[in-house]
Amino acid sequence: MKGSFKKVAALTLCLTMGASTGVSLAACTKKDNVIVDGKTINIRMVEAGNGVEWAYVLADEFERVYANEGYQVNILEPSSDMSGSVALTDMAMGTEETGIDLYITGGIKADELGVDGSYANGTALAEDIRELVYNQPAIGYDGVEESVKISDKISVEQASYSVDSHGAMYGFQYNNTTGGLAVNKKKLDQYGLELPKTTNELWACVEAIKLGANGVKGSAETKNYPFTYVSGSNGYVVQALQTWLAQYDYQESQRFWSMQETAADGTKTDMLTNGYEVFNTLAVEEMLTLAHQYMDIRIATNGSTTHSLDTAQSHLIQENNGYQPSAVFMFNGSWMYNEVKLNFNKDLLQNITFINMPVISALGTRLMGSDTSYGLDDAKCDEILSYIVGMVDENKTIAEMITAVQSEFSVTLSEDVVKEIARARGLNYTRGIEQIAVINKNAAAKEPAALFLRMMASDDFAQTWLETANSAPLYSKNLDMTNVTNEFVRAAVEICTNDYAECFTGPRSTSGLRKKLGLNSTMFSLITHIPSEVYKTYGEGKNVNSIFEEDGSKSTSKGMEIYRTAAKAMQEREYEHCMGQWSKWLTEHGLG
Amino acid sequence: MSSEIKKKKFGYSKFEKMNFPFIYLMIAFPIIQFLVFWVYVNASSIALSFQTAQGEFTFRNISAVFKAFNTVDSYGLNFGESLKHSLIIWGISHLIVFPISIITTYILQRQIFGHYVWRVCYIIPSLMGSIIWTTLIKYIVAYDGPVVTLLLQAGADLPEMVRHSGLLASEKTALPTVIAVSTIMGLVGNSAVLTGAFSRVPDEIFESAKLDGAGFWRECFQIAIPCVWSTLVMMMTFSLCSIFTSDVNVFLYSNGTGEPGMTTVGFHLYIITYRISMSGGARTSYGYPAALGLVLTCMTLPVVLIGRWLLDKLQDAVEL
Repeated sequence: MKGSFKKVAALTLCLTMGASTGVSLAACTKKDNVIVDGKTINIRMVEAGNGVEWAYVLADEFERVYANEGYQVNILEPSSDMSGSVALTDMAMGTEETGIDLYITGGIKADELGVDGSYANGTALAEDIRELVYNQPAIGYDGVEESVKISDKISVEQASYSVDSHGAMYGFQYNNTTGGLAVNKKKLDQYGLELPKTTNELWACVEAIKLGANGVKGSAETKNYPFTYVSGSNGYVVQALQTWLAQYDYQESQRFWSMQETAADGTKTDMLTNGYEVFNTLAVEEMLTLAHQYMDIRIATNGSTTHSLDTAQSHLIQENNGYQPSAVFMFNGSWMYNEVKLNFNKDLLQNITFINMPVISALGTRLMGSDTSYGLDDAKCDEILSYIVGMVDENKTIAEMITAVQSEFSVTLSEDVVKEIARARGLNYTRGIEQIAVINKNAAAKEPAALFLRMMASDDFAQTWLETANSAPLYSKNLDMTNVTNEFVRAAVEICTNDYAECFTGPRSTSGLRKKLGLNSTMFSLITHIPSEVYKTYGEGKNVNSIFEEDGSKSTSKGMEIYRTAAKAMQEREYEHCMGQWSKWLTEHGLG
Repeated sequence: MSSEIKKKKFGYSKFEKMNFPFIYLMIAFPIIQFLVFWVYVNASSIALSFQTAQGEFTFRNISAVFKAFNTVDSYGLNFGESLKHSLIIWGISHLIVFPISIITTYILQRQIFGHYVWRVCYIIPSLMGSIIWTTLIKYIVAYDGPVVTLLLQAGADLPEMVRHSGLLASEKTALPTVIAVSTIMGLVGNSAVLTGAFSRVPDEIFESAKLDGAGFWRECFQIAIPCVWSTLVMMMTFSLCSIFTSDVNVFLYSNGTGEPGMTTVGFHLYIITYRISMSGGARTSYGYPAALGLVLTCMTLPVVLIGRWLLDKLQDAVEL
């Protein structure tokens, strides 16, 4: 009796385990709640910072507009695990197997979706949406086509991030983000400081907070520091350094990431003999100088180099109570509100605002300094730079800016100079390009899915996106901000929808010779490792690269040149390393 | 009679044959598991090591691994450094900590004064999840935690990064801190297993040894340890297999960065795979980490086989 009970129990266990294995394996190809009828758009989407509410609002509008056609939207359970790689694996199985028509995910490069993709086997995984969507007008919530094509609503450069090496367009972008500075305005106000527009103004804020101003004591006593960081290598530092590099000289930053020379007619030539020279430029020196300034741990809250993102953000958002670390600035992005809204009460979040990355002051010197026909000193250059930046933020025209500078400073700037400053201010280091919607190859509901995407490009959806995702839309600047009550979101959206806003991205757009040599990751690590390299000097205790003493006072023996000296040394190391490896890299890739 | 004839003819009685479906079902499950999760996974991994992005045969992934021994790889990580750290951690954990844990467990097992308190202190950390444990440790070694505070009060000349952000912030102290913590955890982990082994040694043997005049240490080295030798061999064999897989929670201690100077091989493999996964990298992006795993297996295999052979020899000697 006892023996047969054991046997039955063991058999039950065995069958249960077997069934669970079977179910697990079967799940790999399971069509979960998919309706394949050519009229229902089956959507698999990621649940990320922007939430998923917007998709359901859009789906309702879409079904209402296309009720006569019988088009339906079937959004499968959104999941945070629906990353780009998961979507790729899913798409590789084929729409016949999965039944999915549309993926809304992130992080897939266009080449991975195209014929060159490693899952592709000679056939693209996604439908080319250039004629299907991009060259069509958007469709409003009233079902009427807008007067302009979608392609006219975003820049060619922005769209190019969705185009593969063969010119096919796969990813439909819909989010508009930028890196910048998150600022605790309430704390900043206590020092009587204004929001900085240039890096010199930012540094003036740093010194005021660190040493004390407006009756408020210095960081050593208040425990309120200028900055808080996320530890180690991270995108928050990357976006700051990349933006400064591009602001200083956009063409030079393109050269930096492509290792190609561009002729006047736009022809690009690989820098086969001297690609390493891209490290030996003033743009890199200026960027590295700022890196050393702002990665100076003596301006950062205690624990900054080991902080998690949540801790760093809490130091920014929470009130300064005099004993816990507190900060005024943090390198962050327009997406921050979505990350913190559940962790802090609304009153605290109202103290936080967002500003575009202050423009690198060296740009003013380069364009108007003593080496130019204007011959202005550095202080005057920064003053004018800040003045123009303010007007760019107000969407003034170039002509208006020239006239205003003439009237205010008695300096007549050329159109090119003002345009370059306006472009520098408008540069938005975006991560929005990573978020895309993709129509599965041979999707049963390809046509309805295309219509759905066209509706995603409408002005009507832009408003939905703004109010439900707390982020700037990509295809419209005509927004009703009445319902946007949070200061941070409002400021971030205004930056992204500014007339001069221009999205760019760094390593993800690595191209040309650099791409051929596979040096994208090497350069990426150059940027991300900068903080670590700076931190190393603090371990030695001597010759620390800071103008502040450890006790919080300002050094009497060290000036700002200490940051530039350290930057030059770092630049030289990287330059010499690349020069030494150059011929080897070329040979390895059959280019030498 | 007839049943005996049938048994001779087919080898099994009718009654025994009735059990066959049950036996097959019981065996089928582990076989399927083995085929899917070991044979297929490993075969796929080995194949990936020799594939280009287009699926063509190549040695490029393997040569990239050898280059990574002394340079920063395309993920910005130095594999040679990770290897060095792993070997240091493994050496300390298994050549120093393991023998100590044998002695300390034995001492606790022999019920010295206060052994209950010590045993509880030993066991509690092993009951905690690694995330709770690392969070606790991160606080303990933070710039305002008890360790740094005590060291500063004792007049220690700590690097500024330690004073600013704690022991895990400085290149000079981060790895030693992780090693110290893994040492404590090693003592705890070994103790849990060895306590069970020592408790199975009959008390009569120790009483007999005592009557023969054996002292505490003689009992330990000549009676207790030989009695649990098979358990020790098993633990040492497993430890040989884990040279490159243990990451001593570096990911958690460094918020996923491995900085400053804390990377281990386990962390290295994990972070590369994690980054490929998070960046939407395709299946063949795994060629480099797959090749890395293959090279590490080739390095570990002779060590494990020779180590196992030596340990078996030692076991024979002990049993003799």
